[in-house]
Amino acid sequence: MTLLAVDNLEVALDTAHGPARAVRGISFTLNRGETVGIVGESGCGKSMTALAIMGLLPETARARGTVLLDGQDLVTLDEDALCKIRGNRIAMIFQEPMTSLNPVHPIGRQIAEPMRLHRGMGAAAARAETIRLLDRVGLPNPESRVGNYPHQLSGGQRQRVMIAMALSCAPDILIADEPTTALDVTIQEQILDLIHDLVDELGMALILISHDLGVIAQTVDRLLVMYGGSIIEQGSTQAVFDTLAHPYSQGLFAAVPQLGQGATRRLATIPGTVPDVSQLPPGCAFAERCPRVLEICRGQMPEMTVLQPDHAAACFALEQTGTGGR
Amino acid sequence: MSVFLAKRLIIFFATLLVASLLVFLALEVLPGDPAHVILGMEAPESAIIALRKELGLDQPAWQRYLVWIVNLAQGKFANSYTYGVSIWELVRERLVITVPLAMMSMVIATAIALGLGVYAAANHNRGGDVGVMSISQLGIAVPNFWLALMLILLFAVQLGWFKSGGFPGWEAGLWPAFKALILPSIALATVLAAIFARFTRSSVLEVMREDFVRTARAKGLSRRATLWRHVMRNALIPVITIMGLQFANLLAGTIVVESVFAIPGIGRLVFQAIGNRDIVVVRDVVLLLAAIVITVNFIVDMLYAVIDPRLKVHDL
Amino acid sequence: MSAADGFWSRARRHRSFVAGGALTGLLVATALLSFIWTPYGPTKMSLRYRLKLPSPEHWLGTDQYGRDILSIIMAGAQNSISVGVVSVSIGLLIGVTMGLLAAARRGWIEEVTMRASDFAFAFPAILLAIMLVAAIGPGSVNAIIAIGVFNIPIFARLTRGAAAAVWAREFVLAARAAGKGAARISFEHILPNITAVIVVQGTVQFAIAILAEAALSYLGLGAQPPAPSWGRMLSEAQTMIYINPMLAVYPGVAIAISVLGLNLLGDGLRDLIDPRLARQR
Repeated sequence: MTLLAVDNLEVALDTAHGPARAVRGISFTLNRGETVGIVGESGCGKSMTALAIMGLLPETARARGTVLLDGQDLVTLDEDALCKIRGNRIAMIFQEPMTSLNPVHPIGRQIAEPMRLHRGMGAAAARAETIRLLDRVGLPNPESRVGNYPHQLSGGQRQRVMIAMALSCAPDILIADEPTTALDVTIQEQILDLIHDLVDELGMALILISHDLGVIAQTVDRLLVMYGGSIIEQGSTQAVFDTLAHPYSQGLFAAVPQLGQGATRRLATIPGTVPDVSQLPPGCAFAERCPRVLEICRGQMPEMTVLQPDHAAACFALEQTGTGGR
Repeated sequence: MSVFLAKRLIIFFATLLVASLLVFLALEVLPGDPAHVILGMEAPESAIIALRKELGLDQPAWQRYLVWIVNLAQGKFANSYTYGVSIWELVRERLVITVPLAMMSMVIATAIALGLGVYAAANHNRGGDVGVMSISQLGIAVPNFWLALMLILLFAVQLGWFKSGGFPGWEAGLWPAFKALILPSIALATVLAAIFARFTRSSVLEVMREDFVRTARAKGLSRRATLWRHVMRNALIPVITIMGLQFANLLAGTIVVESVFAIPGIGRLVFQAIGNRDIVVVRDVVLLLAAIVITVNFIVDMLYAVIDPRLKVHDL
Repeated sequence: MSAADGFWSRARRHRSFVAGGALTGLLVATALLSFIWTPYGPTKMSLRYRLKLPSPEHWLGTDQYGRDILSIIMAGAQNSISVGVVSVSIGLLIGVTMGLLAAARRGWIEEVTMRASDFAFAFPAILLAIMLVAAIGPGSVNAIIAIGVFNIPIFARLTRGAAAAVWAREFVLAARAAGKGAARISFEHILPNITAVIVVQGTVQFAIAILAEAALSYLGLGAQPPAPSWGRMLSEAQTMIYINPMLAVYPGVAIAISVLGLNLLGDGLRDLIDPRLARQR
């Protein structure tokens, strides 16, 4: 059953040089309990997509299109109604656990806040639930931790607190925007596992955003590859990894250094740089850097071509080379 | 926590001591012989010498300093050269005017500034913001004694709502006394309010950019709830520090403003005493003013530690 | 197209900077003009023309001694500017040196300097100025010294803070690794990077100096008669407040405009410099 249906979502930012299209008409669906990953480099529009769904775009940005949550369009909803949905039906955790918590409030209070707001819980009930949540996210001695301040916790612990906060009202969807990027490598694994387990246990849908292919590969069932504000390839993780279709995806995967590759081999790179979203060409955003670019690519946006039941890519020069991942 | 407190107390007393030293030294430079001031220029040499001995002026500097400090610690004050009464008497009857005046100004300034500052931040880059910023620029640029004169001009001379100066004394009744302090406290409060408002605004804006504000919105808190529950407390921390620092300026302002309104407060006392070469009064009152400022800053420090949880743990 | 060109094109469009620059320019122009010409001599008294209202002969009227108000206002600009320039220079030269030293040497020199300047902050500055002037006598020179003295800790603290931040940066580390001494580093690397903040603070202190001088003059401790001074004009006008209140308005407006102009200029400079610094980082 479709929980979230994003249709032709566009986000335009006001810049000094005119409007920049950070997200150019993307569409995807999310079912209950599904896990989807959004992969792409910085500036490809993945965070903007998440913020647009939450209605938390900056003042200078405007969203168009439809985002249907159980049939209700979030884009046209007024602020009050959106407030009831945020933290309640859709929750989001962010990249920087160090600064995402209010330094002058104890963490217990911050975790209890959405519960008291959306579920009308009293102080005592909220506190009990907070302790239970802290325990569930793996924080030792939760009763004594409830009164702690954020600066008394490590980065990994703070991210656990963020997760507890996000889950406190049992949301239908959890959006995790680069949740492990700012953490030590050893902790990353733990946090990802935690997210995975919780999502399974609570039957939530998950949108995991990352630029790290490894993170995506082990956590989500489906993935969307974004570039220059558009989805250029999508499908089940397995299918996409097995048979990369889009030249950008191929370049991305090839650029990942492989163990045992040998010190003498140069790292493969995609020539050129990420485009400035305020100056995108009318056609495919990847045209300038694409090794298989055709005339038509520059002038026209490629449509999603279905390659397999659970795999599609938007490219005029499709060619499945099978240089996929692991 | 007690280590923190002890450290701060030591610094507090040390600063007071250094202040007293500085005041003493500064006045050593002051020309003019107190004995001549008291007895007049024509007094016979013998009388001058006798008086100097009596006042202890023939002792070396360090000895006079110690005597002074020790006496102060015991609550013993010398007599003013010009008025002949104990300095404590002089100070007491003036403190009861200046302290309420300063407090009124602080309250007025804070109330206006917090309101305006938050309003400006909430309306960032829109009409309200520009308006507040412009008015506050004016508030800072206008000299407080000129503002005082303009207030007198408008409210006393033209409209006749207030007297153009003077203080009837608290015996005359609560309302008449307060009435006399209204215009002066507005004159004093204006600059402070302007500075605080700008600072509050920039502090609030800065805090609004922090990540945890985004987290609060993501939890479903409305803009207003986020502002009051998450932003304010963080934004106020630096504002309180500024308030403490500006208190010194407030006291300094009383020197001029009390002169404009002919209010017999501490500020005016200092000024008159300097003119009269009444060294003991200057010495003690200046030290008193410095002590008040140092104490206020000490309180602000303590307050800071209470409000910002990050500090408490750090100093343990 | 260098960074400087970019700076001026952005500066031209910045409201505060332009407004502040215009007002400050007005102040400076008035002062310069008054050196060579004022409608009447600012100290020329005349019993016949006392307390005249504004007229074609006297654009702002005359005061109780028959002096032309416009002339005094113009001449007063000289006083304000000279006090501002000299006192800020004193504070700047000594304070910046102290701050650089403190940041370069660390250790107890830094501690003592900073405690001392912290302490100077605890002391009401005007009080210090009044005491100093009372000690060494009234007059513009002494007022300048007094104001200059209380500028020193302000610049010292600012410099030390900014310099310490630059010392921590990598290119300074590289210079030290190359064997450069603290003095050379201070002049070649630290100073250029902190000049911007010092200049901004300088304009702010200039404004404060004008206000302080006005207060001192009002109390009779600044420029002595017959030298023209806006502050003293105000105290003389106060006695006439029931007779001709406008006398009190003009000098105040002059002070307010000058201070406003300098503050706006400082604000504008600060805005223009900050993003530039951010880009260079």
